[in-house]
Formats: sequence, structure tokens, C-alpha cells
Amino acid sequence: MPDSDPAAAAPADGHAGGPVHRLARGLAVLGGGILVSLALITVASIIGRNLLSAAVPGDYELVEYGAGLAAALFLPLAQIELVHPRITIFSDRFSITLRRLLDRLALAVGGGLSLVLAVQLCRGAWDAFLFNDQSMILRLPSWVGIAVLAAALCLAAVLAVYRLARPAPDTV
Amino acid sequence: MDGPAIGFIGFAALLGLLVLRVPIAFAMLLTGLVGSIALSGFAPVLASLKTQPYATFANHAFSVIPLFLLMGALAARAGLARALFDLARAGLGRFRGGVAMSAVAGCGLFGAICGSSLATAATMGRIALPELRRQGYSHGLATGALAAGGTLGILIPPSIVLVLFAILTEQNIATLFLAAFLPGAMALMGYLAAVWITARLRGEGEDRTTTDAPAAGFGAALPALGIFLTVIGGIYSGLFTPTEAAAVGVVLTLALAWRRGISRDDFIAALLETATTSAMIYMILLGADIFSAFLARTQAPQLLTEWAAVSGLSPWLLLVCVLALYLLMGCIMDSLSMIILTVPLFFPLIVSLDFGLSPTEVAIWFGILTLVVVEVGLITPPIGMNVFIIHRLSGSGDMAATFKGVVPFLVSDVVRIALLVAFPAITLVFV
Repeated sequence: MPDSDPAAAAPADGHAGGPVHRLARGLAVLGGGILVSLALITVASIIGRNLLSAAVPGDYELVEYGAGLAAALFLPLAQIELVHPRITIFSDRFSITLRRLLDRLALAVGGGLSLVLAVQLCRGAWDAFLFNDQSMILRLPSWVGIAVLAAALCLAAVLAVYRLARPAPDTV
Repeated sequence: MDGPAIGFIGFAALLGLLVLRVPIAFAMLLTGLVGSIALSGFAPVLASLKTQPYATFANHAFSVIPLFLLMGALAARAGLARALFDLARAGLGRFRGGVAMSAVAGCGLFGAICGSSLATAATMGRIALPELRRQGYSHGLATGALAAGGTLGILIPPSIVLVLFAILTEQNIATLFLAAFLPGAMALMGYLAAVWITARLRGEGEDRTTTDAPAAGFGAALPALGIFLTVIGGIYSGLFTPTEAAAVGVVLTLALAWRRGISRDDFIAALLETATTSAMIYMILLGADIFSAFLARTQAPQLLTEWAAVSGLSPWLLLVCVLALYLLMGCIMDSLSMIILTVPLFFPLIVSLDFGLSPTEVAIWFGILTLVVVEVGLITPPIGMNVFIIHRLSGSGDMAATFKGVVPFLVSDVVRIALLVAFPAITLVFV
């Protein structure tokens, strides 16, 4: 459970179970599966290193690469469930109309920024592809990781717009 | 306009966006980008965005965070809370207020395998609240004990807050965990004392029951103890790195949850909980990265440190001011965002001051102090997250009564903070 606003962390009513939400959940579960696999590989590597003096080659790289992929796959769910913490205490006295307006603006800001990052990362992925940038041992191509992050941010931007188009984002 | 002025304008703009309900991650991202563009133009800033976000996400140092979160999320669903609560009752049930004390101690035991406060409060709350009600405890004492007890989740290692602090300040995670032990134990003792005194003053908690099956409680709690010793012991002995320790913790907790028959839905829920919290932290880290890069270019942080050096103010006064500011900020924003936002600004300042300790010692000591004051923010109004969680679980009483129930525990917190500030040795004795 996050150390953040419990109200914001609650699943967004009326959006749970929809196809978009299911997609975001599916990606997050995939990312979670990657994490569990990384944990298993790491344990195998520790055991191998200490008992068989043969660690899993490139385990360090694998964890770095895999955790990056997993964290990227988590982003769309965080966007649609509005978990990103914010400060609401100062705006509690604003009228409900104003708060809803501000929440829509905030969604637009978040979506816009995600889109800018996604576009730039696409260009970064292309550069990495052209330079054939790889990790040292396992030769994991960095352009794939960058492209996944770009796609995840792009989807997050779309989901922000999706939330924007729904009547009245939850205001707590 | 000179650099520092732009820096302070940037900071003001950031605060403005926060007031206007923009999520912290995006507010930092926006101010950082706009500020950097103002300083060096569009082209270099846009060029840096081609790789920098990926560098944050695929950063090996950060991979410890989702792994520890997953370990805690699995532990919360492994059915351990009941066993730990029973074990605590076997030892503490005979005292006045024993059931509430057991809830606190159960939180402490659970905190040894879970690095998150809310997870600890929620998990132990579900088990202990019905029992406290059955034994006739008042709403205030029951919810107060659990809300405060939940903070032991981050006070006792492993601790997500300490992990973040270590990453942000490039300190050793193992050393910070070690330093947190005695303060964590003090917190546990302080909360037990708070329960005992409150129960005595109000004449409640006279049940003095013991559970029938202490042995069973102990048997079921042993695996939890084993996981804790393996994870923490492995880090200290140098057998594995903190990231590897977190991975070991995930595998062991998963195995335990599996043996105790975790359902498919619960497993998925643990993954989703890890996903949303991790995504939240990564986005804040990305925002903070871009914001601090901007801030560093304006030289505002150096200006702050230089100002402190020439101001002639006592280091102790400055430390107390920073801690007081943390306490205040903890009342209005969530703990992780606060740490990520402010530590890069205040850490260089505090480490530059002379407390008669080595810089590393000051760094460790400040880390533990930060952890402790951040934890207080979780139980203070108006947005004490632990209090909200427990209040919601209790499903009765008014919020004011719940917050009132926390007061004895806040007193214990204030005493502990004063001791930790006055005697750095408490934190540094094992280091």
C-alpha cells in the first residue's frame, strides 16, 4: 500500500473493469511478473555464486534492465488510478467547480508532459537503435527499453486524456 | 536575472503548482523543464529528455525499491499478522492494556519484514481492531495504538524511506538500517509505555487475557523471523547487496505465502499494489531528477549552504529548524514525496555544519532523524495517512476522536526526537 493519499489511491469508481483499465492492469501484472522473475534469477545467482562458484552471468544488468521495464509497465495503471500524490489541503476551501477545473488542468499538465517525454524518448530510442547501443555482458539492446518507456508514457498520456473526457474526475 | 533568483522563482512556481492540485511528480517535472529552458534554451533541454528518463527508470540503485515493496505487499497477504499478534499477546497479554500493547508489538514484528507504514497499519489493523473492540477498548486508544504502531513499519528496517534517503544521498543502505535499530526499538518501547500509561489513566484495558496458544503463535511467527534474519543478516554480513537482499526477501515471502495458501486474487493484488506504488515513486524520482538538475544549475542550494556558513547561526538551531520544517511539511504532503523533494536541498546544508561528528556520521544521523520526523507526519492531522487507514478500517467514531487517540503516541514521538537530536550516539552506537 502506498504511503500516499489513500483516497487518490483507491480505484477510480466507474472506470474499474473497463477495457482501458483492464489493459493497464494487464501491463502492470506483466511488470510484476518481471519483478518476480528478477527476484528468482537473483536468488539463483546468489546460490550459484556461493555454492557452485558460478553466478548467473550479467545478473546485475538483467536486474537493472528488467526493473526499468517493469517500472515503465506500471505507469499506465498509476495514471488511470490517479495514484500520483498531490497536495489537496490548500484547495479544500475552493468550490467544487473550481476543484474539478483544477483537477482537469492537472490531468492535462500530466498528460502533456508524458507526451513530451514519450516523443523525445522515441527519438532517443531511434538514436540508440542506430548506434546499436547494448549492455556490456548480455548485449541487451537499450533501444528496446527506451521504446517501452516511450510507449508506456504515451499510453499514460492517452489515459490522462481518457480521464479528462470522463465527467468530473474524482475530487476528494 | 541571475541564477539563484531564477532558482527561487522556480521553487515558488513549484509550490504554486502544488497548491493548485498538480501531482508532485508533474509539478517538479514542469518547473524543472521550464526553468532549465529559461537558463539554457530549448535545444539542450529537449535533447537531454531523449535519454534521461530512461536513465532514471533503468537505474540499478532504484531497482531495490519495487523489490522491497513487493516483499511487503506479499508479506501483508501471507497470513502472518495473526501469528505475530498472537505471539505478542502471549508475552504482553498479562499487562494492563495488554491487547493494545500486543497490537503495537505485532506492528513492530511485522515492520521487520515490511518497509511500509500503511501496509503495516492496514494489515495489523484488520486483525487487531476486532479483538480490541471485543475486549472493550475505547475507540481512541484502539485506533491510536494501531495508527502509531503502523509507523514501526518504516521505523524498523527494512524501510522504504531509508532506502530512498540512502539512494538520494549516496549513503550505505546497510549502515542506515543498522543505525535505525536502536531508534526503532525506542519507538516500540515508547509506544508500549504510551499504551500502558493511557490505559492506566483512563482505567481501561483491565482484561489481562493471554491467548491459549502462545506456542502455536511462536511456531507460525518463526518463518517471519527467519525472513527478517536472512534479509537483514545477509546485508550486514556482506553475503549479498541490498538489492539482492530484497530479491531474497521477495522469494522467501512468496514461498511462505504460497505455503500458507495465498489466493490468485491476493497474489495479483500484491503485484498491482507494488505496481502503483512503484510507478508513483519512479515518477517522483524522475520529476525530482529534472527539478534538482535545474536547481543545481541556478546554484540556489550552494547559496543556501553558504548563507548558513556565514550566518553565524548555531548548527543545532539550523538542524532543529529543518526538522521543524519537516514536521510541518509532513502535515500537508506524503512522506515519500517530501523526502525526494527536500533531501537534495537540505542534505548538503546539514552535512556542511559542524556537530563534532564526521560527515558520514552526520549523514547517517540526519537520515535517521529525517525518518523519525517523517513518520510523525503519518499520524498528525490533517492528513495523517495511518490515521485515515485505521479510521476507515474501524468504520465508526468520528475522525476527531481518532486523532485524539493518537496524542499519547505523539508525546512519545516528541520525547524520542528530542533524545535522538540531543544524543547522536544513540543512532551511531552500532555504526
